[in-house]
Amino acid sequence: MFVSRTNTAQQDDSAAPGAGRGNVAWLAAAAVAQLAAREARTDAAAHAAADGQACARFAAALMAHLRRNDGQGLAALQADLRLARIGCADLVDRHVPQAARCLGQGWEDDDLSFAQVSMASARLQALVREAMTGRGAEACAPRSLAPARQAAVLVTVAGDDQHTLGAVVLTSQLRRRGVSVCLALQPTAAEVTALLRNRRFDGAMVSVGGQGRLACARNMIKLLKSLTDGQMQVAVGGAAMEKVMDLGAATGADLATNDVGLALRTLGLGPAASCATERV
Amino acid sequence: MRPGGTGGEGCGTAVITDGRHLLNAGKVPLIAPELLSEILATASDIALLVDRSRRVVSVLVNPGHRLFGQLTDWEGAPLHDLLTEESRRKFEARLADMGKPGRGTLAVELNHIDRSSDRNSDRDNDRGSWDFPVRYSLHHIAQDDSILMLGRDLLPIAEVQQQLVAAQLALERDYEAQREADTRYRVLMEISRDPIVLVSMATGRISDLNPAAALVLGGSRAELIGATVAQEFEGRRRGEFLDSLSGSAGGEPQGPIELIARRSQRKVLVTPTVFRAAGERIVLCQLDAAEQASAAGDDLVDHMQRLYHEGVDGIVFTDPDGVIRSANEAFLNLTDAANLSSVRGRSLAEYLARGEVDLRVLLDNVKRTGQLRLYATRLTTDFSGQIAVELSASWLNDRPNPVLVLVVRDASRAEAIRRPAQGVQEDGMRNVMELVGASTLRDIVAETTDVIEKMCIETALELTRNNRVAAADMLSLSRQSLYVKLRKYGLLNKDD
Repeated sequence: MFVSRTNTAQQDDSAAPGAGRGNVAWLAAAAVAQLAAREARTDAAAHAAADGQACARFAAALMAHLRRNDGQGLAALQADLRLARIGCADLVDRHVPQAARCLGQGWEDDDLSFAQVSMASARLQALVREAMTGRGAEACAPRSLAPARQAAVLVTVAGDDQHTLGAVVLTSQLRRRGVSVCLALQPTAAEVTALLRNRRFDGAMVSVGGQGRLACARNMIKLLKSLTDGQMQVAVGGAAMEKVMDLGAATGADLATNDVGLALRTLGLGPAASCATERV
Repeated sequence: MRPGGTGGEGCGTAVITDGRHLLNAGKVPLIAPELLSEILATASDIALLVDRSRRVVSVLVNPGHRLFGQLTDWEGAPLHDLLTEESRRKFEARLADMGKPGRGTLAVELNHIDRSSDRNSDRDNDRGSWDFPVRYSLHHIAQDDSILMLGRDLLPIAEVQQQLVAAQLALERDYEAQREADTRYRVLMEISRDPIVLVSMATGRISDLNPAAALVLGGSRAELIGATVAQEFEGRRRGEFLDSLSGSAGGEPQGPIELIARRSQRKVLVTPTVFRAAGERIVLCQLDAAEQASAAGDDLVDHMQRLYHEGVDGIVFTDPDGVIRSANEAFLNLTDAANLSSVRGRSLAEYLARGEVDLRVLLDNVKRTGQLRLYATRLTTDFSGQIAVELSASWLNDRPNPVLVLVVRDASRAEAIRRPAQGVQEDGMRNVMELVGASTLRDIVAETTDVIEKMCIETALELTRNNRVAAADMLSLSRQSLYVKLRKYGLLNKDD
């Protein structure tokens, strides 16, 4: 039990009084473990509240960064991330979508001009990329080389829909679940045809940015179905879910959802979909 | 809009002249309708007069504005039909705000649908329609709820925004293309059995190498990347090899050069090939073992494989985070696991009775000392049973992806013999029993406090990536106090 800790302590401090020093280390480790366990057990509500406060503080810092005109502050924001113990998965899955919603609301309330929203969205997208490829990205990356039988999904934003952040976030979530993703942004019909001819996908997900982009999405899904003789299962999601009553029927998709797990299960990619409540 | 209103002559009123709906405002002399129309048209890029039913009554376009063109077909149309879906909701919300007391002039950004593209191409055409944004100020102009909307064209800004979006899309596509190429390169390097080292000619340092090369050179990939390649080799022909790096050997293809890898002391044949990528000159070094592995080595591999598959003790390989990569049949038996796939990918902590605590202690120490013996704990089986085990751990760090190897031995019989019948006691408590009596309570507590302090400070430094200001803040210590403690526990670097 904690033998190694004992050894370490002995190495660290050879002047310690006899073998007792190692036992002290064990006692200390046990005490810390107990404290940690007690901490985890007690007052879950208080912890949730503290977590909420940390999130709110970070959300304010994120919005301040996104609204800055000088493009600075990314380092400070990343420091805030570390201190708030926000990992890249948490950032991408929770905070980025929340910030995107705040930006949209800011435009609707005329607190933000569309130019400001565009700049902030670009920064938000850059932040997602940084989280996925920069320091600390290990936690987000698949742990090993993808096995050959890995599920493959086509994620796309159709036509002239410029709302690509949702698709990038979705791609990140899928990759963390071990799904191989081909992200195609505003592909032409010829590009989609070439993709389906040269690669094999287990399904497709179409991200729709708003009500005005239904026609694009409908055309894309029609194309995907026709190229696969109706075999390809297609899920649809994105910001349009909040605006359109029955997005599935409106676009001809097999499923409309912002739940990644549900989408994967519907596409028949069960094992990867075991943890299921993240949003597209 | 109806004429008249509440004012008398010279007061605010709306006027209809020749079918044109214009207005006059405030206590100013009545302005001729034509002049007022011109003022409105030139004061803004676009002016809309909207009646109480939200139909566009009149459209005035600044004659100096080249982009809008003819919008006369907007007259008589419901304003909603001219706006995007999002803008409709937004407009309604602003109208509600207008009704509230104390609200002055309201400004709102709205996106118009370009109806000309509707006519020219089907709306369903993916790229047929586009929106154009206008920033309007909204003004009530009479009692009948008519609104004058004075608009400033935001198209120039929108064009810049479109360039930004296009750049963003291009960037995203580049990222994806690069990711795909990276994946292929990484797989190629990982899987290839041929040792390959890439060296920058500008710096003479290793820029990348594959696991097979790291094995031949005798270091981990992390250690070797960035190392000066000249220092990784010894041997009579080292000078020749360095010449090829400096380019003095010319562009002629060279034969293999026999060298000795300094760390592993293995003889290797190095075949350098120079190429240029994005302006950088790179030497690709293919390494070949100068001597064939002995037949005895093959026997050993065979024996090790049989031990793994048929041995009585569980053997588990995990990654540096404790995630199980493979486990043998004996381990599956110990944990009642159905098959290897049900174990692979799960954290070892899930099988340890004390979970993350056990795993953390294991990993911390084995990474520090390289090995760990007789670590007593309990395994949790897939059916929530527990079994006493002793673990031996080895840290195989001489590779790009280090591996933790655990030998798991069933210790339930030994524990039954050792354990007193009267009750269960934590193994570690025996150590405390040794402590109590040997030292005073005061000493034990003081030393325990020191150890805990040190652990917490180390953890805070780790969490803040050695940012001491942040670490002090995290621990609610002054910077000065933190430095005192860092010195006390020997956590200050020599150059601090």
